[in-house]
Amino acid sequence: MSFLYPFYLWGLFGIGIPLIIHFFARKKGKALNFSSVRFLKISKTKAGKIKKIEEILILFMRISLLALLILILSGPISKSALFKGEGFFVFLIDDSLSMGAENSLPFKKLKERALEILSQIKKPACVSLLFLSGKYKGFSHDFESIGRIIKNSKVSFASGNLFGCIEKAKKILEKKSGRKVIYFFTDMQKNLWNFDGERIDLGDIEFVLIDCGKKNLSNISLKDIRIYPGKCECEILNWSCKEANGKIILSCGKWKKEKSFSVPPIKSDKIIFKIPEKIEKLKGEILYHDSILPDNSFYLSSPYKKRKILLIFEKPDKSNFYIINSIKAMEDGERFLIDERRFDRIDNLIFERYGIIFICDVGRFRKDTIKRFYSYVEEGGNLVIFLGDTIIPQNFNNDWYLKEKSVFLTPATIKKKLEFRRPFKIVWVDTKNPLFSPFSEKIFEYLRPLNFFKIFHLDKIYGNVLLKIENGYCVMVEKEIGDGRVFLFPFLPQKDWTDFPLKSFFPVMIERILNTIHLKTFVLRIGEKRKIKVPGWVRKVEIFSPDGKKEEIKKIENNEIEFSPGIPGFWKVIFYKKGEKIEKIFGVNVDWKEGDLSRINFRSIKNLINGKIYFLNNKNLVIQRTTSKDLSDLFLDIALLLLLSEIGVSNFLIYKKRKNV
Amino acid sequence: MENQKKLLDPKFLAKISNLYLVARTVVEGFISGLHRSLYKGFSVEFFEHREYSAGDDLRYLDWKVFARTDRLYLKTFREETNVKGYILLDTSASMGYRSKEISKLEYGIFLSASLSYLMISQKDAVGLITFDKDIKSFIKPMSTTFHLHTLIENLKNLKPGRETSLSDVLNKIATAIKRRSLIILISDLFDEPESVMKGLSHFKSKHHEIIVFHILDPYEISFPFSGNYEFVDMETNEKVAVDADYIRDTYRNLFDDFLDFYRVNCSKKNISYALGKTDTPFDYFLYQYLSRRAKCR
Repeated sequence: MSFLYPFYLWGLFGIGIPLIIHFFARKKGKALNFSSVRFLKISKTKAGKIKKIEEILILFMRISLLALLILILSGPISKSALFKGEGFFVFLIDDSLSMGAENSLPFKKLKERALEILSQIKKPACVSLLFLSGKYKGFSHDFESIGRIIKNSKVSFASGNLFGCIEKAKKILEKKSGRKVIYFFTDMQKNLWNFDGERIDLGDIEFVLIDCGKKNLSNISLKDIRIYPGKCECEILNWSCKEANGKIILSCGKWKKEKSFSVPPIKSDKIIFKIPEKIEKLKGEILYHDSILPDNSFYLSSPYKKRKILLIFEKPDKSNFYIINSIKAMEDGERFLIDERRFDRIDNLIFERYGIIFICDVGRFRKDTIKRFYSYVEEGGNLVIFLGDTIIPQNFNNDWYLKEKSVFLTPATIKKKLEFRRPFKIVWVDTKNPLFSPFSEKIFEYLRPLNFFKIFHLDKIYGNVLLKIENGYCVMVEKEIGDGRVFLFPFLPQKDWTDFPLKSFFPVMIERILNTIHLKTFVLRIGEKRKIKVPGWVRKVEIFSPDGKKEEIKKIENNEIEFSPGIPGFWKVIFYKKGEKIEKIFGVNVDWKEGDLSRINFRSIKNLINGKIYFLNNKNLVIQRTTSKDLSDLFLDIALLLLLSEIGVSNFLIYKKRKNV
Repeated sequence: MENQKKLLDPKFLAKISNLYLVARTVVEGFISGLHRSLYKGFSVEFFEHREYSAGDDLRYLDWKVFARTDRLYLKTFREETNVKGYILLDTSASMGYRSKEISKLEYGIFLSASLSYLMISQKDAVGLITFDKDIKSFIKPMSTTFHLHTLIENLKNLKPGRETSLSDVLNKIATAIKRRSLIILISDLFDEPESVMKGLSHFKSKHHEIIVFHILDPYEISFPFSGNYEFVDMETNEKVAVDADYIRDTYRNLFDDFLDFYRVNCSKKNISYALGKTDTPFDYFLYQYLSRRAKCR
């Protein structure tokens, strides 16, 4: 027998209370003068034995009742009853990354337990296997092959979708009749149980949780690496309760740098490195006796190396002049190549060749061009839109709405144009946004009142507001679509802003946008599915995994291939064209949340799953054959019987005692 | 009748502080409700004739008057003082027990006073012996009204004493009283029943007439206690802690045996035995006395 809430068993000490009352706290009774006690003495000797028997009977019943109530509260379960061999059993196996902690110790234990339970199940029962990583084996009587699969299984690098897996197991079992059980072998990692406020109703399916984990494992993860011009920021997370001291190594080919760190318990820390200018990929690795090994590494790639900028305008003499000069005024402005095009001459352009597209006061685009913009942004392109005199709100809102996708490409819709006669100052900046975060509060030093003249009043905002002026109007909104971003400025930059006596803010901001986009990195997480656009005229696509395995993709649909990396490291995708080879590198990482080894308690699980749930803790499994009757119910029945008997016997004795008074 | 009953109720009498008045109230209240022939029938000296009424003893019909007048007349007689009576009153500590207003000793005192009053008013000589472990006082029997006052004064000052040693005391008294007398024992008889019976037999062997008034408190018989108590013996101070609910039945059985023993053995030995609770009206005992007195004649 085992208990769901063994903590309550401490309550068994409460049995001592009736015993103490019985033996030590007896009522002496009040003293009373009586003519002669000779008859009392004889009566006491004669009746004392009956009294003792009655008292012991009542005491025994009360103690038993108390003990049973405590046992019921502790949630007793018969392990053997759980593994009785008829019905349909789904072995849900947690092969998520955290199971690989401490040299895969939890996973080894998991295998042992799964095999042990499997050995208890006999025909005609059917067993199915379902791994959190997605592997599945349907119901089978062939326990040997199931055992073999369990034996040969390995920890995956993915975090796993528990909610989806339980739902899947439920679906599989729902069609079956008879006893239905899901055995979930897990390390009880808390992250797995994030069901986004949803509950699973298992109905008549039993859910047996088998804890294979270990408490208090120390672990640190390298959560992220961010690149800024000339520097790199590494974020380290310490999940354990002790301070973590170690070293972090950054490497890129032959270049290597090392730094020490000390992270307080349950905190994160940022380590800053100086890095060379031209970095295409970067690997970070923590040297620490880490529990889960792959989460101590981070792989970063920056595949977009393009420096080309496309500037689309209606009339050449307008504010595009301002943008061009802002780029030229940048310290390393020569890095960028600006392609200026009138809006009616962009039909033959391949947008994907440009790192960023500026659209300046352009009236109306054709629908197919808008669609091309959308796919460009989704693939990681960046669009910056300045609104000017030629824009009519109604047309703009209609044009930039994609019916097929039910989405606005722009981060906001516009309402009406307002004219201002006095300069306004930018009073609010979203300093948490990566665009402005390096400035912090210093950003206000760059700001001075500007003559906007005309600003469109924004109607509905679908993205993040980044800047606001004195009267509360938003002057910069941003929105992420796929891997790219769209920026909307509801005004036109003025020519006079290009005189830089105090260095106006807007050139700085354009510099920030360009740098951020230029240094944009790609990070893929294991388990994610990524669609990659295949350039035109590609004959062959090859994917190289970090362990050197090559996979050739033959199926290219809609100029897209689906890419789902399984192990962390640098993945290489090569597109073969006629006489040309295009290479893309993806840094693939494990889910940093997997590094958090904090455990969930059984009570919380009960709040997430509705149904009959059992829990087997870390101790050895003792399997015996007993009845399938739920022990809790059995104890409850006995307790009720005892309660009734106690009430009956007590009342009878009281009646018997008092009847002749 | 209701008023008479009330007059004979010990609770009511306990409120009267004058013991003489108590005795008079009891006796006269009792007599006024009693059948005439019983009271006036004990003397030998002719007193007067009276008309026969249904229920009168035919032995006292005057046949000569009937022959002469053809009417039925009864002869009544003036009473005689030829009986010496001793009231033996137990004043041991156990007699001091009371569950309600009146203790056994108080009850015994009232009873003794009433009997004394009745006997002296019948011209019988009456004496009083009080005792506990030993004889405390010994007043020789006399039939004067002054003697009644002496007895009542003596009774008034009685208080519960020490332990009981009833059999020893009875033997001593039996040895002390030489002439055939009427012995009235008022006690709770809390001693070894066999030895008490031996003491009583001693009286019987000397041809004394014995009336035993066994006075008990209703609580001693019914034992109506409930719950835990520590009972303290009033004579020995011995303490016994019991759960009253558990021992009640056993106690009652034992007590019934105790009472049965006296009832049966007294009956065997021709001893008049009357059990009385302290809430019993006195007429019961007076009737017992009078019926015994009738036998004495």
